[in-house]
Amino acid sequence: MMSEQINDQKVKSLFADLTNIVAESGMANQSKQFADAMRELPYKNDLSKIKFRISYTPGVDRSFFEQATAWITGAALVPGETAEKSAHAGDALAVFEIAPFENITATQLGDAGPVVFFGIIGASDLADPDFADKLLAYSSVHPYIILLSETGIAADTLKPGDHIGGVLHVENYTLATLPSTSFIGRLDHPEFLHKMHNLVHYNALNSIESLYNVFSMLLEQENRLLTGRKATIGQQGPKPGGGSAGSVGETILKLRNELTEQMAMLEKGLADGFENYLRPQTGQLSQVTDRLLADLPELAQSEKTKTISLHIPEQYVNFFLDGVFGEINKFCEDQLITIRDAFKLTQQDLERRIEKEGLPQVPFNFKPLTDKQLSVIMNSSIRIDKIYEGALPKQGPLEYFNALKSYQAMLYLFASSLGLSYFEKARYITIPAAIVLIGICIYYIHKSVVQEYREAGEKEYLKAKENLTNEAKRMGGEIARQWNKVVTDQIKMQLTQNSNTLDFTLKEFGSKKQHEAEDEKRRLEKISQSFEVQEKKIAAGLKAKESFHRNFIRVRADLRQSVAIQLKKADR
Amino acid sequence: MRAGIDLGTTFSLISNLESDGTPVLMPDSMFNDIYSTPSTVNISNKCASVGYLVDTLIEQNPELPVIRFFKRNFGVNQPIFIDSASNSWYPDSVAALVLKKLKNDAESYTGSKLESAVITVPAHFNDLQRKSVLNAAAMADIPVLGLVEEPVAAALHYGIAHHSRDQVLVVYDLGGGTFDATVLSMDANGVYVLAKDGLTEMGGKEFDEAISAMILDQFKKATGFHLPINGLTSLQLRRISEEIKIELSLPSKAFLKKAILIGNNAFEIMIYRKEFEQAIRQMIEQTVEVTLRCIDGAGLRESDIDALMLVGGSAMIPYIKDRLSKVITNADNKIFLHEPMKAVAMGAAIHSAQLSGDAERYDIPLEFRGVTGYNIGIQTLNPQTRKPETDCLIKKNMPLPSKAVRTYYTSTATQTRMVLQLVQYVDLQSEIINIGELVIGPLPNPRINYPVEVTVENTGDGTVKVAAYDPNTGVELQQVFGEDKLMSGNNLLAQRNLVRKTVIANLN
Repeated sequence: MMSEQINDQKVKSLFADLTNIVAESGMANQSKQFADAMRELPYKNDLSKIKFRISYTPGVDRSFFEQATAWITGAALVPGETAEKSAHAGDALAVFEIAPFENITATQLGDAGPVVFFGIIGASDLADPDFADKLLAYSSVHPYIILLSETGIAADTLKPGDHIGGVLHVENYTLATLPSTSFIGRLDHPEFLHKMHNLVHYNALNSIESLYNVFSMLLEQENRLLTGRKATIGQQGPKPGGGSAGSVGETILKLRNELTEQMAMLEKGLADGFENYLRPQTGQLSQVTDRLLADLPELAQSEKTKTISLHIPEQYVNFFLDGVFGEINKFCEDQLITIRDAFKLTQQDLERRIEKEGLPQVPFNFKPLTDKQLSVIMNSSIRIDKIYEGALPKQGPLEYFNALKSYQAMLYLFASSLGLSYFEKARYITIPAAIVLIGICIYYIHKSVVQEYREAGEKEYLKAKENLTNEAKRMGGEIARQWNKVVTDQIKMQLTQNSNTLDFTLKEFGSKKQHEAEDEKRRLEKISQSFEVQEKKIAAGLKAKESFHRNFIRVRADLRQSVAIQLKKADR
Repeated sequence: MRAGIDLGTTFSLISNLESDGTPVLMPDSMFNDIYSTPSTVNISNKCASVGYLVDTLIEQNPELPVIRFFKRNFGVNQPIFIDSASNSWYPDSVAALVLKKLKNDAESYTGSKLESAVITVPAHFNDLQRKSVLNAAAMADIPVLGLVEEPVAAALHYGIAHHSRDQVLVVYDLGGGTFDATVLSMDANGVYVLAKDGLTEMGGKEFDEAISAMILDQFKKATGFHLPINGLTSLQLRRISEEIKIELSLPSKAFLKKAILIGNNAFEIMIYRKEFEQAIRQMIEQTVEVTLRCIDGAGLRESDIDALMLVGGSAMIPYIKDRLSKVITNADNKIFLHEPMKAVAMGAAIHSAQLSGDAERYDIPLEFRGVTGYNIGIQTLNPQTRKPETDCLIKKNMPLPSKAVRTYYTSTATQTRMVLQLVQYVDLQSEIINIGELVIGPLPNPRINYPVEVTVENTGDGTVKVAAYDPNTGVELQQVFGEDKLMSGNNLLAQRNLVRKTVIANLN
């Protein structure tokens, strides 16, 4: 009785230890079945009711079954009719669960199970090649086995000690070898009952082991989860590049520089373009002006008193202005398209870079120049400032008279030759010759006068062309100056506005990020602290678990040994 | 560095040769004491987690979407996963992520760049499946020295490790998801495959599922309700089933009593080995049948077999050895397990030395000869019966590389193209696998009876190459092969970019 109480205390103490360890580790409610089992175990160690199991071969000989059950329970039972039979065993109640043989499957945690297993074995079970395995499985959960077979089974079918925590004692009978004292009769002996009580403790102890195993798994799972959380928590922090305020500042600087560079390149590109456009002779404007001037008609004339005044026909002037207007306007419109496209590309490029850096989108707003600004410049600049005005001397006797001056000597020579005495005898020759020569002279005078007149006209024509060329250049230059200024102002304005937007948005984001990073840091610190607490709890749990297990092994070994020794005499 | 990669259904491994030629496995860069990577992938936000990291993530988020067993989808040109950014992922590209992870592991372990690799494939993989593996390697930027069949790789490792010479060996390779039987002859000069056969959906996955079904059944009996299944419980169930399978593989265990924890459900189960064997008996019988068919395919009798080598984690189940010893009685005492988990990867590393010309340096046998795994033919339509007929060009179990030439003729004067269906099959009664359409043309001078000479080659790594010529001029004709079956062109490029842009998560 003394040892029984000691054993009871040992088991209860072990269970209390496990309960404490589980409570301290915080694992108690991780599994419902585990929690239930932890709560229920003390009640299962109840000695007022001792459970036994009787398993039988379905189809076993009825008479054999009746005799076997009579020896076990004190009452001859019929196979399949009774599932449970109770009988008094001293102060306790002996409860026999009766069921056909079947494979033992899942059991509830902490379920200590019956202390004695009775196998009523018929001939068909002995013929089953898997029967030995089935019995072996029973022996893993019952510490005391009594086999009753119709024909007898080999003595070594089951051996005590096949399983740690399993069978401790096996008795093997046929009807012929059954002991005279029935099993229920044995229970009347306090000494035997005391052994049964120790078996209850032993079974309870074994059921603690499964709880211990689950607790180990829970700890292991928690430890794995914690390791995983610790490992992955770092990955949830700010993303590289787009994360810290410092990196945002660097990104802003880089993007600003890039934006400034791109705008400067655009500005320079446009100015260079206009310069090339205006380049004398090779520039596009010059070529177009030349083409337009190729169509310049003869200059219009109007007679004055002494001269003929020359001017460019008004119709042509309008045609020329239209041509120059169209040409420069087209060039500037192309630049408008270039500016619009460059703004768009710059914006897209910046947005792509920002996205790549993991930063929020910046609401860039690049406003391109409008046609209106261009047309104001064009309309104010396309005009002729100084139109060509020329004059030719009027053609008349005076021109001939003037021209005659050049031929004066020759004419005198020829005219005087008419009266030369030497030739008086040959007047019929000299007179016609003089007349012919004078005629020739007059012809050349006339020709010279006409040619000079034409040459003067051509000079005036060229002057008119030059005048228009210069006017075109002037208009181009004037437009270029105004246009470049407008373009530069616009680009600078866009640069300033969008840089500010970039600054504002990203700095705001950066500061938000910084706050977030600080919050995140605080959160991570908190998590890290909670991890440390958990880690300590788990480590303590693991340590306590190991110590518990060492104790458990020792207590079980002691109990196992003492119960085994007691049971050796059980059948006596 | 050159490596051997075992791209498995459930686990993948990478190995290389040490300076003395000894093959060694390279560890996971995150878990340094682990030498295998579960072939599981999670893809989220341009980042892929591969292997044990996925298990860690599932424990934190049971609903995490995980891609497993993608190897079983090789050769099927269909997406198996759509990520949150609506990108479609094909088996090839998911495999590429696993390869990329193994490459990272190897490079981080050795500190040198992975120059090239030999990748293992199940012996019974068809052309499409092998090309899927090559696609995956290309996407992972791993230059492939060659493909080697898993049983052959294991045999190579066995041959080197045991200096085993002059014998006829059957390799019974039962891995996580596939089964291969291969008959080889080995001598001092090398390894020669005589015949091979296999099953696609057969392996540890099925056995684990059998145990899982037992556990679920017991849970229902014990509690009266069904075990709720989510990502986490499914992972735990798989883990426990695998543990139980391994424990039951110990010869002394007739049953197993075990406390288990699935989700928040804890209970004690009792699994009987006999019950487990009963559950997998049909599957094992199939593998035995295929093994015997393979021996027969090599023109041998069971009595000709000198030894039977068991490879692959699932081959450790004692019932398999028992069953095989009953049918291959001659090799009864020579049925043995050889590094069931590692031999394939290490054999692949040995083969990489063979292919790169380092074999002599490491005293590795130089010769290696494989055989065709399938009959290769062209399916044509019989003009009289209007029924498809298969014209066999290369027979099964012919030495590799194997080449066949056949001339086909146009049937009408206006026919400018010729379309031929290439097929692989074990026999005409079983499944005929269409490995792609060969479209020849436009033909330069279309006319009736225009001859087109078709050359079909089963290359050293088991893939199929085709070419078409005009036999009169010897000029190669324009042709396209397999575009209907395999990932190609823009899709291949897009998948390659997708893999390149996807970062492999590394907690370090």
